[in-house]
Parts: sequence; C-alpha cells; structure tokens
Amino acid sequence: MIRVAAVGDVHAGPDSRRQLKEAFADVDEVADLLLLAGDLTKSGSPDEAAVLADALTGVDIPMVAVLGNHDHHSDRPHDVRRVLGSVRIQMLEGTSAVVEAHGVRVGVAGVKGFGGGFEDASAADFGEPETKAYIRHTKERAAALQRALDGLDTPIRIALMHYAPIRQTLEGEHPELFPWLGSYLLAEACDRGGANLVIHGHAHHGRERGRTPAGIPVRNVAAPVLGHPYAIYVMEERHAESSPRSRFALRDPVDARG
Amino acid sequence: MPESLGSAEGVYLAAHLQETLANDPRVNAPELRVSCGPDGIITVSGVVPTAQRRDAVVEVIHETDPEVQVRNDTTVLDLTASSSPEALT
Repeated sequence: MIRVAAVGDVHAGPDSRRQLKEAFADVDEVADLLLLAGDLTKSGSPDEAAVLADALTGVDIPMVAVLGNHDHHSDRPHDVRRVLGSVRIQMLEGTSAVVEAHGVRVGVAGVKGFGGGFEDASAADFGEPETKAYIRHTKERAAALQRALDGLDTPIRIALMHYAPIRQTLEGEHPELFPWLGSYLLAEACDRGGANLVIHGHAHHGRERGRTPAGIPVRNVAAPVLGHPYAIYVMEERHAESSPRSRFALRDPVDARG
Repeated sequence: MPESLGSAEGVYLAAHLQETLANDPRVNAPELRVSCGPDGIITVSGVVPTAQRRDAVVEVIHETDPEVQVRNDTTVLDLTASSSPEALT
C-alpha cells in the first residue's frame, strides 16, 4: 500500500511563503510520496520557485514534479527546475522516476503536456505553421509521456502532467477553453502506456475525478479544485494487475465519473 | 467609425482586462474570469492564492481604467483544511 499526496497550481510567490510552509508541514506524516502537478510558481521566476523549495526543504518523503504553463512564463524553466531540484524534488519532462515505499515500487512518468482539445473537437496538425506547431508540440509531449511509461517496469505506474488528458475533469470550465486546457493525446498515451493513475492540474474551475477512455482513474489536483493542501490517494499493489498494458482496449465497468 | 460601440465597449473591456490580469506581475492569473454586466460593472471571479493578489486585482484594473466600477468576487485559496484519503479501487 502506498499513500500518494498530490497537488498542482500552488502558484508560489513571495506573498505565499507562510501559507505554503503550513500547507506542507505534515505531508510526510500522512503520505509516502508527494506529486506536484505543475504551475508551481506565479510567473516562472526562480525566486518564486525558491519560495516553494523553502516550504518543502524539510519534507522527507520522495517528491516528484512537472512544470506547468505558469512556470514557463518568464522563459526560465531550466532555472525553475534547478531551484526545485536543489531540495530533492525529482523534476520530470518526458522522463520517469522510481520510488519505493513499504516495499512497493512505484514509477512516475511525467510531462508538462499541452493543449489541442479532445476527441470530436480537436485541432489537427494541419494548415498554418502556427497551428501545426501547436499540435506538434502536444504530439511530441504525449509521445514522450508514453515512452516514459513504457520504460517503467514497476507494479504501480502513475502518469503526472499539468495539462488535462480528458474532458471530464474540465467540467466547470468554459467549453471554449477546452482546447487550451488539454488533449486526448495525453489520455491515449496513458492508456497505451498502462498507467494505473493519472494526475493533472491546470483546470482551476474543473472537478477532481474522471477516467480515461480505457478506465484509468484521472484526478485533477489543481489546488482551487481540491480546497485543501493536497489530495491523498491510497493505492494497492494489485492495481498493477488490474491495469496491464494490454488493457487498452478494455473499458472499466466502474462508474465513468470516477 | 462610431464614436461609441455601446454595450460592445464593455465586452471588449472585459476581454482586455482578462489579459491584463494574466500579464500583470502582481496577479499573473489568466484563470480569472472577467465579465461586464449590462450596468457596465466589471466582475472578476476565480480563486487566487493570496489576499495580496486578490487586492491587486482591483488595483490593476483601476490603473487601466480609473473610471470603471469593479466587483471583485475573487476568493483566496484556503489550504488549511485537512485531506481525506481516497482509496483507489
């Protein structure tokens, strides 16, 4: 059994120093792993990243993170990664990390992701160079996510991203914004890569629970959605048996709302 | 060119203010919703991480247009409640 704490969209800045310290003060008492689903800073400055790093300095459990769109706003994502990496946060982008808790090995594959929309209403790699560049970036990041998942041999595999992989967890957002909030390509990568759990953020007005087309639980952990410092998901090793890679063609009979 | 676009002015003002709130370093919140009612009042809603950023919403809008009336419905993120674990089945 492993307890996975997860949150995204904390948007750290100089004015949130105390709030973040208090929010994560006890996380290593209630969880075995902390996942951070992007938009860790207000505007992507290393100084803002340092505020979050300071809040997490004393945390003993493994921490794994991806960046979000806010973390790119200042065009210094490498510096943000460096600052967060300095306090033992494993920063992923098309890569994976393996952690162990209570004898259970857990693999996390992470990517920022990108937009484009969802089945029946998705932009195509077609037309003006700007449109093609947008969709090709999403395709590249989704492919990188699947490669990272494919490379994991752990009994539990978690896909961590910032952008949303499904529509369900966007419900509450303006539908016109959906193409800017996520892409079905990310869900397809998770289904084909055999993830057992998908974590994302980005959708402040969305809802927490959904499932991929193949039935994998998806959780939107954007802090405004959660209303508390982090969600905690308890996973058993048997999740691996219930979600082998060959399961892609199957649909989970459980309520599709998660 | 018309001298005034009537109610369309409010539509465009709200849209431009939404982008201003995304880019201003005191707020940096493209997730906020900005609308203009029939009375011309600009309403901003959504969740911001701190009270400082909540107060900055009105400050930034008034720097753009000192005359506009603002209803600030943004709320401050509360990270004090404890989490209830969910067992994934």
